[in-house]
Amino acid sequence: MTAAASIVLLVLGAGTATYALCRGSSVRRLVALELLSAQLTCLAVLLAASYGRSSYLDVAMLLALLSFAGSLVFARFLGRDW
Amino acid sequence: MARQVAEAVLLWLGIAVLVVCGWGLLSHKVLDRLHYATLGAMVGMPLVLVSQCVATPSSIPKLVVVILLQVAGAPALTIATARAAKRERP
Repeated sequence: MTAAASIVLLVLGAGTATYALCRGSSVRRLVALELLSAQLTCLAVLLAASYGRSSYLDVAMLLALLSFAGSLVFARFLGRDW
Repeated sequence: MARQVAEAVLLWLGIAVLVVCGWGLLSHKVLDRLHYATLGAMVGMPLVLVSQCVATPSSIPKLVVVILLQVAGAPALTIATARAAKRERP
């Protein structure tokens, strides 16, 4: 019950971040993407605990690593003079 | 019993921070959004992950890797994004 409630609340928070992701300039969207990726990583961890599947933790690890790398590349791209 | 209480407190605290930071993303200024995003990534997410470390000790190695990735990477990401934001609007 607690896990389900926490997952629902986290999904609502991710929905707000998704809405912020769809508005504004590129940098504003990138900022929303950073938080959204953190929320989705937490969601994967909570789903792993709820379903008892440790393989979902691998999803969380990959998501944390790839979202960091991707967001960093985007931030460097937006901050450069082309 | 103490472990369950600690798990619940950490989990709900972390989720509260993440939800509040999600709402903070709706602010108008880019740097305000960046503050909220960094707070969520550096405080909210580790709290949730630590709560799961308390709940399932067998998954501690993987969760520690995620926490370290996030804690080490989020500040660098914030700096790069702030530079991009400054360039967007000097």
